[in-house]
Amino acid sequence: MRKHRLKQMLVLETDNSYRLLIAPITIFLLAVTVFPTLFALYTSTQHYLLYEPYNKHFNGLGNYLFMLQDGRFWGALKNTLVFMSVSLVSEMALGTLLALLLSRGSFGVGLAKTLFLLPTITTPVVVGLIWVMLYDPQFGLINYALGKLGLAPQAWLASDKTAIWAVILVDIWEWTPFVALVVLAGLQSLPVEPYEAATVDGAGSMQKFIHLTLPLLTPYLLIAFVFRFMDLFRWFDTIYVMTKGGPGTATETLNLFGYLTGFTFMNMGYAAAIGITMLMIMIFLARYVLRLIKWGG
Amino acid sequence: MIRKLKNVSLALLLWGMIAVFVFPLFWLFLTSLKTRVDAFSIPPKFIFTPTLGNYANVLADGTFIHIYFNSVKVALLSTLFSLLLGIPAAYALVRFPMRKKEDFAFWVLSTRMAPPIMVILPFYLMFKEFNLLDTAFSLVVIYMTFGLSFVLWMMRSYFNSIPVDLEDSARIDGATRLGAFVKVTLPLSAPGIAAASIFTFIMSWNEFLYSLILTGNKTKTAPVAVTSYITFEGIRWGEIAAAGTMIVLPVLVFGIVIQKYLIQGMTMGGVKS
Amino acid sequence: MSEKRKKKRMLLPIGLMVLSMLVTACSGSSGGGADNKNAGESTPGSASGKETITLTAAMQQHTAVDALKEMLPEFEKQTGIKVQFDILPQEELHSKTELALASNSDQYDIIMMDMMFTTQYAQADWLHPLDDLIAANEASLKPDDFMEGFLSAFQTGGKTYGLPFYGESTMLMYNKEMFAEAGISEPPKTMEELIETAKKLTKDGQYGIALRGARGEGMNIYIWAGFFNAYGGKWLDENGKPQINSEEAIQATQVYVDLIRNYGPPGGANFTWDQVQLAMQQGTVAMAIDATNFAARLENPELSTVVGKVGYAPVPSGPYGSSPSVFTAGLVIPKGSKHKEAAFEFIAWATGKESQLRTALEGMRADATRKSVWDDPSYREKYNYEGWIDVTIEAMDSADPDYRPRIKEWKRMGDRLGIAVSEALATGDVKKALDSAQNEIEPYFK
Repeated sequence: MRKHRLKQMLVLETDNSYRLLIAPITIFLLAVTVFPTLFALYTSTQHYLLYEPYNKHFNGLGNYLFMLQDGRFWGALKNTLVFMSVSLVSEMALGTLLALLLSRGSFGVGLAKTLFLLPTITTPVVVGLIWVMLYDPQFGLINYALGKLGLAPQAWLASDKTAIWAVILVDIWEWTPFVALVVLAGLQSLPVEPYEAATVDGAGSMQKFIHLTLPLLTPYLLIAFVFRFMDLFRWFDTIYVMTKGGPGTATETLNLFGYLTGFTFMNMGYAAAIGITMLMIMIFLARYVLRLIKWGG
Repeated sequence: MIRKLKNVSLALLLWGMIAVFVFPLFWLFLTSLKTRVDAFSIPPKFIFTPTLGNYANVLADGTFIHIYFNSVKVALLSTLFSLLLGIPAAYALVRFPMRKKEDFAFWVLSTRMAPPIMVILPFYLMFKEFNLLDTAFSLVVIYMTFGLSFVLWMMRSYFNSIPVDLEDSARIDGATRLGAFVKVTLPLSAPGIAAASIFTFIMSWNEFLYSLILTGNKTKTAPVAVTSYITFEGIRWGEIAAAGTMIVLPVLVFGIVIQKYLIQGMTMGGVKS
Repeated sequence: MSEKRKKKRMLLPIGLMVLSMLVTACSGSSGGGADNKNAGESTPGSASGKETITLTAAMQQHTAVDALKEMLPEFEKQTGIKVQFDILPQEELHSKTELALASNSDQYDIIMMDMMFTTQYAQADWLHPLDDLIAANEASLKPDDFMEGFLSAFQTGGKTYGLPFYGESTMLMYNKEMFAEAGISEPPKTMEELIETAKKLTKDGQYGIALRGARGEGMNIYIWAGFFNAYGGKWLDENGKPQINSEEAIQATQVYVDLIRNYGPPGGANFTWDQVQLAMQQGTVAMAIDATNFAARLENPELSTVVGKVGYAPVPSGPYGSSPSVFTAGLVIPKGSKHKEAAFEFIAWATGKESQLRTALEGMRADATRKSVWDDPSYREKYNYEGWIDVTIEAMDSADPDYRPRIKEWKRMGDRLGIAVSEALATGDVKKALDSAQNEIEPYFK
């Protein structure tokens, strides 16, 4: 009897076969993430400068309290939020547009489907460096082109007014294809009949889009949104290479600030506190967004 | 007539966007063929005498090829294992009665949220303890945490959109649920699997910070190698452009291969009753 | 499909995973002994019983390092010691090696370290003091042959922790052609002259001077410090507390900011030294104050359009004299290394006269650290850019190792100062930027 039930479980016939299916991923993630998280929590309650190991001591919420009154932290938070809001909205809109265009099968679409991913494929460090070249105020192509059009050249990455927008533009360029990829996959999953029925009912393409496509695409839009959201919060490589957070602290995001605190100033306790805080913010915001979509859609 | 106009303008829009996406990389490629003097000339040069010197420099000492293969190995393995662990879990979430599905999915998502500074020290210590620094294993493990949540969420949506009837009719014909999953559901989810694998592969291929800290000479990956051209004596733009161009190629190849599955639509034809 | 096969399908992936994890884990720990670079593998049956030691060195990417890498087989033949290089860019090398040092790892036997960390690392007890080894090898090592400023940069608390590998100072570089066109015969000697000259040469699409603007204790602050010191700024007061918003500091910063904003190329506020170098190379700028080793790249026809047109002069002086920088990266031995004597043999060889001279003659090395190299006729013959060697030696000799104070708070202080200068460049308000920096830096010294 038992043997039979086991066999049943293995071919997924029983209701509790799901345990077998989620066991590997659960075990793996638990094994890999529990220790680091606990360690980080512990470290965040310590005053711990890496080069003063003899001075390490417990200081409770000291790091967190310091963070709350650290102007640099708030500046970094503000920069991060600006980045995220502008980039997210732009990438979602442009990515969806691109996916729709790609799925239409217009002229040369096979080639387009290979090319569009190039920005996302390119190593972020390399992306940063290309744009440093393009943005160069003296030698860069962008100012050269602007000059030819009779417009004033900008200092781009060198001016604290334009730096953040220059960096946001690079992010949008780099990641819109990712959104397009996810939405495109989603478009491929759409069933055909509802559309056929709608056409029979006389619906125009705009109506089909709003009432059929958008709702059906929602899970994918959500995935693209949430993942971009998480990655933007932790964005590092490209900014690091382009401005290192400058000029001044104009492009210093939370993650960059945390990296400096940890790796340059070697203040591990404070860096851990920043990290935990970032995690908390992300968890809170992500949960909130997901709940919102659930009840809206 | 209007139809044609609409088609043409939409095609123009598409290609306009593609041009914007491709141009900077085209510039990268051009730069890889220029000498430093040419690379920064005013006005910027589109016509110039190309040189293969940068590529020669990058390939000269042979370590670059080795690093290349490290990247390929790590990216393939992490993609493979992310799929192996993620796909079954996604299926479980969709087809089985399970309590707290949303919480589980969210928890998996949250494993990806930790900012590197928070976890890099403990990971470093952890791997050092088990003598796993400078091994592909450590990188694969970390990259799996990036890919797993994406695979899970992507495939969950995909499986959700496949009607249960299709699996049921296969089971009526005598297959077990496992068989139905493998023969019916998986093939229909090809685009989702394709997207998930491309993404995971790209993430692993391009990751910089963890690789920097956790690898040594044996397992160094491509992004770290590229940054080593930022030297004390200057940014070796030519070499970086050459290395950067070469690094894009495997991912491009992977993408082209997978792309075939990406465009496959839901072929309802044969299976539907 | 039989039931057995179905079961196997399920178990196969799981089994594969477990197996592969076991395999890699096993090869990690047991093979770790042989694979991990620091294990002493004894060659079986060797009569003398000498082990082949393999050392791992964390090195920066640098042409000298590339050249040295080629010479490694010779070192191995001479001493029987194998050396492996792990080459990384400067910033990242720093992060990675600090982690290794802090965990007392034996991952590296030799590290190339920025001199500014000497005090910090020594106090944290991460480095192995070299005095005994130096004394024991004095005849072959000739420690007096190292440039004064360079060796002392690695000394703190009465002990020596490293040997200088490459070193530089700063100087004024100017485009002689552009000077001649404007009718200027002599390079400026004082700060006032500098400002005037820069003004005269900013016209018709060319600019007077390029200076580093990008924030960083090793970036804009590296050059700015020369102005700070020249105008009499003092980093710390008698009580060891910072005072970087003094009158002198404000004056110096104002000069620095004005030069960049008024007489520098567009985007100067963000210039890294790479961009300063580029501006000189492309002939868009008449002067630059930056590292002495620029010369190697300015006089290289593959990289520069101004070969043979560059003049070299000392850093202009302010009321308190001329303040050239000192920067050196050296080789240190971590406490955790298991092969300290072998490591010392390596660093002595790598910084020895022969290695330095050879890499200088075969490659482009404008940053040797031994007097004998600079005095060597073959070196002088190769690097005969007019006036360069003499100005450089003078600068290196007179440089103060605490040009930027080698205190353990330096990283944070320097970084915050870098931001302040960067802000001043963006807004023009020097006093505000320095005052706010002073406020934030004071608590670091509690």
